[in-house]
Amino acid sequence: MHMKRKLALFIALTAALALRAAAQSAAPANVTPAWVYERQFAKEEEARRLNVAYLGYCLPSFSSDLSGYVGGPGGGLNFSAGFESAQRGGSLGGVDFELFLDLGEGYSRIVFNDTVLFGYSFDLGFCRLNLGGRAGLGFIDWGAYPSVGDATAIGALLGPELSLYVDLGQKVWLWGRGHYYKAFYLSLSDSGSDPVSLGETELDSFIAAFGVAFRQ
Amino acid sequence: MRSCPAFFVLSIVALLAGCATAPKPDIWPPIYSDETYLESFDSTWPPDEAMATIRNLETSLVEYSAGVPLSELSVDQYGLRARWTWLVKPSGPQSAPIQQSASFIIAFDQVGSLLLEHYPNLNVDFRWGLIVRFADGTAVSVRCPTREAAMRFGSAVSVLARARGAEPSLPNPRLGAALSALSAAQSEAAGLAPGTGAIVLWLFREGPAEKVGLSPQDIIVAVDGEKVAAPDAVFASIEAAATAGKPEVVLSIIRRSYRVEGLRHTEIFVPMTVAIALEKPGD
Repeated sequence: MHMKRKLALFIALTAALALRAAAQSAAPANVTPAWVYERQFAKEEEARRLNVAYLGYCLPSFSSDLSGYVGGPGGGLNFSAGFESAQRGGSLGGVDFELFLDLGEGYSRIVFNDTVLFGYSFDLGFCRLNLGGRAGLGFIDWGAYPSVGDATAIGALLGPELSLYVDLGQKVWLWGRGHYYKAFYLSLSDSGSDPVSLGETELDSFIAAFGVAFRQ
Repeated sequence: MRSCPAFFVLSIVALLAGCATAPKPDIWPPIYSDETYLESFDSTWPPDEAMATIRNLETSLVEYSAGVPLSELSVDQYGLRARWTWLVKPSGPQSAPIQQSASFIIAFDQVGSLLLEHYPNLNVDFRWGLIVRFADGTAVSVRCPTREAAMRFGSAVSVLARARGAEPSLPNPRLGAALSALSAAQSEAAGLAPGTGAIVLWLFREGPAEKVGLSPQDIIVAVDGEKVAAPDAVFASIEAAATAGKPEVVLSIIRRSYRVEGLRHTEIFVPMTVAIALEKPGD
């Protein structure tokens, strides 16, 4: 009797182990092939990818040394354009061009910034929040501007940046961004009478911008 | 005002640097959108009825590449001759369109195999078709508007081919899959020794492999517990099992898949077994 009970216990244990193993063994219907996942990943990636060309209008606010020599929000035409890309949640990259153009009576003042964008992009579903910074080169050109005359200055700029993209569908996004940068300039002119040559080399900028972006 | 070309050069460089991404190499076979069906095209039609069927289908057939209706179709007990014409407009502004034509012949005694094809992503009508392969390795592809039309055309060609002594065959009907040897990169990724196993390129729709749930990119490593080294060995082992009278054959498979945890996904290789019933379609 004792042996029979042992045998029954052994059979029950073996059957339980076999059933557990059978339940764990993979069946084709239970294992989704990689290519099915990859198609799904590609669709999700495409839907959530930020890869845009954008165009917008800027509202610059300048301060420090050179602020009196460049145009402001009411100073003329202020544009921003560029490319920005990021995966569904991850590193952000892009390039941005800003042009602040002030054409007065008989004079011109141009600020042109060419910057590389970097940072991190957060996918929030209906919108994307990008945090990061920008670094690049700045360019100021005065043409017959009172107290300056003709002069050109080149500078390096660096600063933090925040932008928000709202997906409108159909490959169109609305965006807004704010960024601050500090720039230091060197004069490219020989006259020696422009403000940069005279030691006013800094320009601090806070720029708010908004516009539309198109998925590439 | 002066300009500064260096800025624009720098802009382009920055733009190119920002856009550059390293493509991820894909070592696995592509997933084909065209579907191949394993059909035997069995029919009891007499040859005369088969020829009449082909003549009735004249307006339902287009040549695969040209996609234009056949302009001439003649058939007799020896073969089928088809011709189609189309207009090409030369590049010159005043040039008149030029008529071009092409043709094919199906010699019934040379027919090697017939395959029913479906082109679900073809952005035109005539999404079904028949591929007629000949003994010399060449092939003719004809498209039809419906599966039923393609089946009738295939059955008629099969009847006339058999009447001329040909025996149209089905490619590996007991498995119903196209296989390839693994590349070194595929073997390494799957953790297999080089020269082991065979990878599924595509499945014949409604075939045995599809019915048991096999998928393209599955790797067959053993048949009935015996390791296989190449596609031919897979087919030979299955045929040997069928010849020995076994009701089914067990394939040991490794399937590439992913473990998905939130936004993270990790490539995994899952071993599994499937049993294929050893019945030819139509048995």
